[in-house]
This record gives sequence, C-alpha cells and structure tokens, in this order.
Amino acid sequence: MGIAEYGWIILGNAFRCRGVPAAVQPALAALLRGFPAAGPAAAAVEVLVPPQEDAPLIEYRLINEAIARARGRWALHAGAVAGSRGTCLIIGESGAGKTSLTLWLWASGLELVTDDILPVRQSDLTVERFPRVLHMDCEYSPRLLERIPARPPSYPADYYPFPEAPAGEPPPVTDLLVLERGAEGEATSLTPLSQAEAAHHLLGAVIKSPAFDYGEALTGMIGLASRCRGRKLRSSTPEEAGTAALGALG
Amino acid sequence: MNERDETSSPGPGAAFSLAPGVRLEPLGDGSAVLYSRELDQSLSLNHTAALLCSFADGRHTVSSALREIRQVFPHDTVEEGALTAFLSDLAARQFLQWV
Repeated sequence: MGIAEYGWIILGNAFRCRGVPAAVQPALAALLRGFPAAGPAAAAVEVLVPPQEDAPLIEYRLINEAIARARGRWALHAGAVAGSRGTCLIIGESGAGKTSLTLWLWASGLELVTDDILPVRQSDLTVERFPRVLHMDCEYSPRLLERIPARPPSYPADYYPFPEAPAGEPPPVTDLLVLERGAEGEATSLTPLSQAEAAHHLLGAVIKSPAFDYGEALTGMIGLASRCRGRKLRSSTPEEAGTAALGALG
Repeated sequence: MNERDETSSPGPGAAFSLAPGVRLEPLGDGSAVLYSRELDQSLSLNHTAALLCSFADGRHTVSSALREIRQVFPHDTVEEGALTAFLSDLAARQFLQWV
C-alpha cells in the first residue's frame, strides 16, 4: 500500500499526505510510525506536499498542522517522563535544556512520555504519550546514547524511533520542573513554586493554536498546577540538572 | 471637577477594586492568579498579594486592607508604602482601579 492510501491519527485528527514522492515515502512512513494509522476509508485532513520536500520537513509540517487542529487537547512545549510517583512535566525557555533533561531522565530508567510536545486533555487534564521520532542532532552523553534504540536503515540521519511504551496511559501528573539555564559554575538549585507560579509557567508552555482561548487555558493550567508539585530547577549543566531532577523525583 | 488619574497613588483612605473583566483565582496554597479577560493577560500573586487583591471590592481602603493583612499574617512585615506601590502597579497594568 502506498503512503497516499493511508494516514495517521495525531492529536485527535486523521491526516493523509498527498503528493509524497515515492522515494520519500519509506522515510516518512518510518518517521510517523509511532502514531496510530488511519485506514483508507477514514475521513482525514488532506495535506498537500509540495515537490522537493524531504521526509523530516513533511513530518514537521504535519505535526504543526496537527497541533493547529488539535481537538480537545492543549499541546504544551514540554518534555515528560513517568515514574513511580506519576508523570513529571519539564518546561522551560527555548535552549534551557528540556529535551536533554527529559532524555537524561529516560536514560536513567523513567518512562518517556514525550521529549517535545505534550498533549493535555482538556476534559480531565490527563496527559497523552506523543510518540514522535526522537530528533537527536546534538552531542549527547554515552549513557544516553546507549539507551537510544538502533536507527533502522529507513530512518533519516539523526532520527531515532520513539521507544516502545508500556500498555496504558501515562500516570497522572504529579510533578513540574521549570528548567532554567544557570551561569557557568553556578550551583544547581531547586526552588519550590507556588501554584500560581506553576500555572503561569504551564500557561506559557501552551502552544497558541488558532483555537487558543486564554481564559480556558488558564483555567486548565490552574487545575493542572493544583495537582502537582512545582519546582524551578536551575542548573549550568545537563548532568547536574539530571542528578538533581532524579533526586527530586525519587 | 474632581478628576483623578486612576494610575496615580492615592492616600491610605482610598478604596480600590478590580478593574472590569478582571478575575481573581485563589489557589489551594494561598497563592492566586489575577486574570484580565480584556487584556488576555494574567499575573501570579503570592499569598500576601492574593489576600490584598481579595480586598479589592471597592469598599476596602488601603488602610483597612493593611489592618486585615496584619491580622492574618502577624509575622509578615507589610509596609503601607509597599502595599500602595503594589496596588498602583496593578492599576498601571489595568488590573485594578481606584474608586
């Protein structure tokens, strides 16, 4: 079956790509492998692919389209891992090291929920796994690289499969880490956040889609903040951030 | 005429209220979020600021609010000047108005 005949269900909507060159189809199918397939008869949003686009760019556009059309969910720029306490969200400014810390915690034994985009259901504030491929184009620690699944031949360079997840949904959100990059040599610190501060940080992480309603999102993030223990984690290195986070979540 | 610049800092006898369309969302740990529907902006408040904003009903004055805050948080040092400056800042941001 060619890629034009089927689609993927992402954030509550089915998507189908049209015009994907045959040479690009295997790589695109590999990149979207983590998402449930939508059968050929499923009503789907048609995404027209301009010529010359490669698989990573098509995947990127598809995910953005899915976020813009997300149904009944907020999409947060956040990493998330799950452990015995529950699910821990990791947010922070761009470049703060969210992805590095998330993958570090995963490499340390926690379950990966997402390293990038976190769907939060508006109905009950539960979170969903977002099994997007891992895009790893930086330098990572050997400890982390050992945990990364082998890159199948069909995958573009720097892309790795989302790890196999246990059955069932991630556990309820119990922790929030707001990551800040510390100055070189600065001691790592963990500072409790009030629920209002946590709500504010969470609100800042919500991706503002066309349907975004500030008041609704604020109410949702207040609800989420009320359920979890929020802390600001300030660290100058990913390793120290990881050690501190593991201690906090242990 | 008795006009007043709503963003200026009036005296301790001035009453204050939340601006139209502003909502105070108290949270379980004593903090709160102040949300302006018109501005689509929000502010996070610590427990003292949250309590202060709970007095923004158009009847409490700066002095009466300060008195009640000192009763609730007897160990906190709350100065009238700081409290007035905070309220004036909220007024400048259009979250509060002097009445």
